[in-house]
Amino acid sequence: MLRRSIVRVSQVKPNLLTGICKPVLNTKNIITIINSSRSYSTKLSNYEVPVEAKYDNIQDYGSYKHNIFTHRLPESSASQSPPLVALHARLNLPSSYSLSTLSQALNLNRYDDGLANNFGLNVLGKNMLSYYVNEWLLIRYPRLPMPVHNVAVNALMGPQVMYEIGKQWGIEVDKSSKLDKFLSQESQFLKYGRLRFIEEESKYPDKPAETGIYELTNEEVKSLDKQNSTFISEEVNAYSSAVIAIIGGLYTHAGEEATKEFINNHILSRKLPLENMFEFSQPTRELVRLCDKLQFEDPIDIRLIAETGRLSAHAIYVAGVFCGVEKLGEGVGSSLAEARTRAVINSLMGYYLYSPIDNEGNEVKLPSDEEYKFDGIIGPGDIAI
Amino acid sequence: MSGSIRQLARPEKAFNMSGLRNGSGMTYVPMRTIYLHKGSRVAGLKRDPEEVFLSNKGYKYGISEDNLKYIKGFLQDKYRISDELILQVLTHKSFGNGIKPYNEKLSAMGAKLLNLFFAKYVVNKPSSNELVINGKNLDVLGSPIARELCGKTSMGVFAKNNQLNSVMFWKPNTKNIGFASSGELTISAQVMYALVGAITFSYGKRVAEQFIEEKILQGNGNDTNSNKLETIAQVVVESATARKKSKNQQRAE
Amino acid sequence: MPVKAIARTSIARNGVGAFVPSCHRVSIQYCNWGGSSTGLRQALKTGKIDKFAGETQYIFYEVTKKPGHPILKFHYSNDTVQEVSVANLKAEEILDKLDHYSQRSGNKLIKFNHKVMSVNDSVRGIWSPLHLPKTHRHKI
Repeated sequence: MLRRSIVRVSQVKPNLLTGICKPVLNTKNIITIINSSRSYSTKLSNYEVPVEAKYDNIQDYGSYKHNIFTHRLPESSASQSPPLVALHARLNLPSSYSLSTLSQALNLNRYDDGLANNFGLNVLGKNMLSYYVNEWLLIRYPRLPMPVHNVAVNALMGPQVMYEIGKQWGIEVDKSSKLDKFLSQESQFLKYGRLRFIEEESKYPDKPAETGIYELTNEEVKSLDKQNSTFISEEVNAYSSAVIAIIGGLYTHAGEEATKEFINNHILSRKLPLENMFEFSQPTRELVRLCDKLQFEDPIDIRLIAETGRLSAHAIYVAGVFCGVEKLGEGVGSSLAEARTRAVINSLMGYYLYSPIDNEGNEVKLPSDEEYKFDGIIGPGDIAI
Repeated sequence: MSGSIRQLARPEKAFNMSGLRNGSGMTYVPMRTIYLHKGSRVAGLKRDPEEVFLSNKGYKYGISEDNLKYIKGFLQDKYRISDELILQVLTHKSFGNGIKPYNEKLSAMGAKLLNLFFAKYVVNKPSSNELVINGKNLDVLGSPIARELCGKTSMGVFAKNNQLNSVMFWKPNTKNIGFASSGELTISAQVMYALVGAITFSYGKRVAEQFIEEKILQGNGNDTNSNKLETIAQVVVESATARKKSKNQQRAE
Repeated sequence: MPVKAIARTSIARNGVGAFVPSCHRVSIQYCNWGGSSTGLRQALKTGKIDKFAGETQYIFYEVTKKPGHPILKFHYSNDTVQEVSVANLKAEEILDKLDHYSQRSGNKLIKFNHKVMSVNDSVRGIWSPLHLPKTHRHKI
């Protein structure tokens, strides 16, 4: 199989009449690349792929077939796409992972020259990712409150993070229209290695793009967070979809073990700032209620441990939370109230962020690990105030 | 309205405070007197657990053969899990204001594993579709049946048909008494997810997948089709599409 | 609600787990006529660049023939582009430049005057005068 990550471009000269660069020389083994600097505006969401399918029998899962007529990219075409080959190498994917699947994972368009899109790969990848991320969190941080757990899942596999990962992987968006590609005589193979989510008709804007104005699509309006005026852009969604589909593709070609390792290496290796994800409204009440749930017999007692002196220039107090003779937490503050609150929050965080270890002091094994033995704890659920 | 007075004292565990306060050497016995209130709720009063921890069907919360026998019978010896864990599986967040260990984290684990298992299950069937990737037909993903296999409705019905939801500790949020309208369906489904989650926690993913295959897909060894998940899911999907069709027809008329 | 959650994103630690090189695309631009491109033409003609590209399969190379001084453009995954002029350089020197810049992260070079740079909190914590035994405390 011919795999090339190098492309040759011929001499280019600006064509003053059209304003578009036009190549002058073209020989057989030379491919010209001119990136059009046209801006684009997308109007219609095109990655919400309908899942209408026909089947012989509802339980005959093999007979399901999408109603849209598509085909898969031949491997011979895919292997001639330098960005695709480079992406394959960059991610260290196994050789069994075919380039055509990788190319399919990058395609979100419903009708992209009749090529199959990444819908199925994405669903598969999402299931994989969702299981392994949740399993990791549930075992490693069993006492996280559910709202924080959900935000933590999002911090590991939400669209924004997947977008960052896609960017880090060096995935580029296919922005140029067919006309641009024709005029610049760009190789048809290049786009197979690029992220395709902009529909062809959107690549010809009916009005010039105004600087500083971004028109939201319907999908983007739905994701609008009015408090912070943030939204998940189509591009973010597209990157996220492609990254997840690449993970799904890994399962189809290399199996579940390889997928798990890939998720471990690329996603679970990120730093999760869990301690910054909590917001307490009534920490003391919460702590009292929590001790009630844990059936602690002694009442909660907040006591002053040390102070610099009330009359010192900048008084500092150290408060501790005690339950009987057990010290649950400690906090430093410049007033008694501050020290008290910090102490209570410190003891709550000590409980919520607990991570179990086994007898040898190592992290406990995950259910999907070999020779799994249950060593940790199961979260008993949050408390209600 | 009535109440009872209970004293919490631990004289046998009396401890010396001299470690904390130098030199005093006094012995300190913590003792509390608590009034437990019965009847209607009064703000600030602690309610008597005898009354609070009763399920809506009158089962008393706790580890007892009556409470656990349905789950134990379903799991049998092969997938035996601890009694505390079964009780946690059966307890919903709404029970006793969430003061007892409940099944939220268990069901999170179980739901994700079921999603993954059925995604793998449906794509790995032999297919004639020319879009297969390495023999896996991805076109089936996203179809109603593929979603419903691990969906709430079919899981809830499965739990009901297998009597797994006979004892559940939860609080109905409405006065409706229907299986679905009272929320019992959702709670039953959550118990199913939690059960799978509990097996995953106890024995690992491989055994849990074997459990799904053996007990949920094969229908617990008995031949009755109504106990099999795939049959249930098919009925759920077909009745949903039939309802949709008739609605569309009515609209057209 | 007892505790609310604040949305955060996880922080990338490239190299913990998998390492993905930051440089993903290199544009090589040379002139077929000008004297300043002699070294680059040499490197292209003798297949040295081709060999280097084979060794760094993870980079997508574009070779452009265009009048003017020869330039190497390095595209990094943090959306920065580094342009390096290789005018009048010898083939070996150009390969050194390729090797050097293709390994960079694309971040700006900074002078770092501290002992540790980390996304993690200090393991030891902050020293506190109030946690010393009384006999060791500072007395005025």
